[in-house]
Amino acid sequence: MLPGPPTASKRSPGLDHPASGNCKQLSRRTLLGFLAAAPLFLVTPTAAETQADVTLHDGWILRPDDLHRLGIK
Amino acid sequence: VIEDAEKRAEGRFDKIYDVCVVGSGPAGTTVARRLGAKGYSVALLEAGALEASQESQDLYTGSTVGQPYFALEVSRLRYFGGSSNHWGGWTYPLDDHDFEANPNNPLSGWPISKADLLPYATEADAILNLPDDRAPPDFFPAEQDSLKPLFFRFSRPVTRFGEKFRDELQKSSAIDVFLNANLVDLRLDAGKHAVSEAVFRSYEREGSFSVKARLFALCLGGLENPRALLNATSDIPVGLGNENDLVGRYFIEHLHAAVGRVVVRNPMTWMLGYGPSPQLMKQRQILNFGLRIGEFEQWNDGDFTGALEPEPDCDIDFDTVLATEMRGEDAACPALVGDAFVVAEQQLNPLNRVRLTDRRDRFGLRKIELDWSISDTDYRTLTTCALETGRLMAQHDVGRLKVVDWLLTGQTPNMDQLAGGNHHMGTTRMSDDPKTGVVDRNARVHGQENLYVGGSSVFSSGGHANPTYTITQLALRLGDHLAAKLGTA
Repeated sequence: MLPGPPTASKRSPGLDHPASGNCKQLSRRTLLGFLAAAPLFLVTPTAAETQADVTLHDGWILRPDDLHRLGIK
Repeated sequence: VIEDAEKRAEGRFDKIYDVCVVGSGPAGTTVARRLGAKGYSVALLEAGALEASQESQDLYTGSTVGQPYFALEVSRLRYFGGSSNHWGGWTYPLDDHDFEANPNNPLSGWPISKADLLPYATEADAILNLPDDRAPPDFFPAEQDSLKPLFFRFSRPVTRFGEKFRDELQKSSAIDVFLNANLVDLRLDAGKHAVSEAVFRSYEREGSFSVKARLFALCLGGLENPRALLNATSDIPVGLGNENDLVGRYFIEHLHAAVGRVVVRNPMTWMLGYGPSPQLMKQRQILNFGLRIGEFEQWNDGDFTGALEPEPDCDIDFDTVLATEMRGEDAACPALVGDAFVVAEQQLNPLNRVRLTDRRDRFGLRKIELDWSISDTDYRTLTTCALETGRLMAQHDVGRLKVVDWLLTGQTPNMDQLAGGNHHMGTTRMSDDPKTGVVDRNARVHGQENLYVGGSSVFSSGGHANPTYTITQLALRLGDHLAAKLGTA
């Protein structure tokens, strides 16, 4: 998903490095052992939470007239 | 000068330094340079060499439980310059309200304010190769909006502390750098309220060697600072500063997650950043966050400065691109499609912690286990970020946002969807009350007269800001404090 830091391999041969960018760790290989089940996520938003001036449709936050204008049912 | 502890002359350590700084990352190097510039004698000890080695990095192995987390031996770097060697260069200062107590984050708030760090901003900018700060670009110009624009600054070229300051340290008459020096113990004087010497081992040579100093500063990172204190049991069985069982607790990260895809009405030329207003945080009972809108693949590049490379023009209008994306198809117009990615504050939780295990490293020190979980408040912060951003984009008609499925459905996110940022904070948190923190407002370990901590482990709460800028400000402030203490001793 993210590229590695351009200088990491030069500095640290043989090591897996977190990336540049947001310091995000990138190596799926080193993470495979850590993908245990995470706690259940209980905070599910509703359309009402997005307030009345917008609507929620298939995850899209839209203006009320968007669906009609775009011809989406 | 820079010396190798493997080749040490034993008599070298008869000297009593003004300050012994352990760790040569952003905090340690900055503290040492600050003191050296004022003429104080400093021993700066680094566990690794000038370059990375598997031998050194292996000493960072440990285990994790709870929320999946990065392997600990790749989550930080153990050689000259420390984890600045894989730093991405993103900076943002903590917000004013990050220093205040947030009722949605029990125990939050610092004993110092942003004003205490502002005197160090100019020098931190220079150390970190930062451009001038300026007003951020903004989608939503209305002043009453719940999201406030942020301007991220990028260290370019990225400051690798070991590289940038190597020559200066080599030539320094005030600072002695010792490489391959692994801290194995901190010994106290007879009263057990002051450190008398720090004990080190190198990799190859038999036996240990000690460094004596008037003051000591641990700058080992957010996982190793608590580990060093907890392993220092020669004089106090529970470890140093741990009388209230706080060392290692309140570990906090920054939650990194793509929260949405966006279709924008006009191509963006600069990555946009947004954070919540204090009013929104109060109203929605959330924590701080820093949202980025732009092209993920671009801003993850090591040369990124905030400017977005122009995407190929397309003749497709906004409505067509939006309708196509809403059908789940590729609109083939990358100029109008982008990512919404958030880096969010995490709630303080005493159960999120670094603890010692019974496994030991080659020097006999107990290894760590990191126990990390994510709270409902954390998730609510991410959800609110996505919903509020989408609402404002639609309301101002600048674009539309699709919230990622896992946030809407409550699916458990995997590590590609939600992860930390290798930002290890809070494990020796700052508080004037020894019952709620390990160090005081001057970063001195409670109960110890001459032992200090540098780095993000002292963060009382984390905000959303990438921590290196704050680490550098705090290290300059710590250097000044230690100098003042030495000057009056």
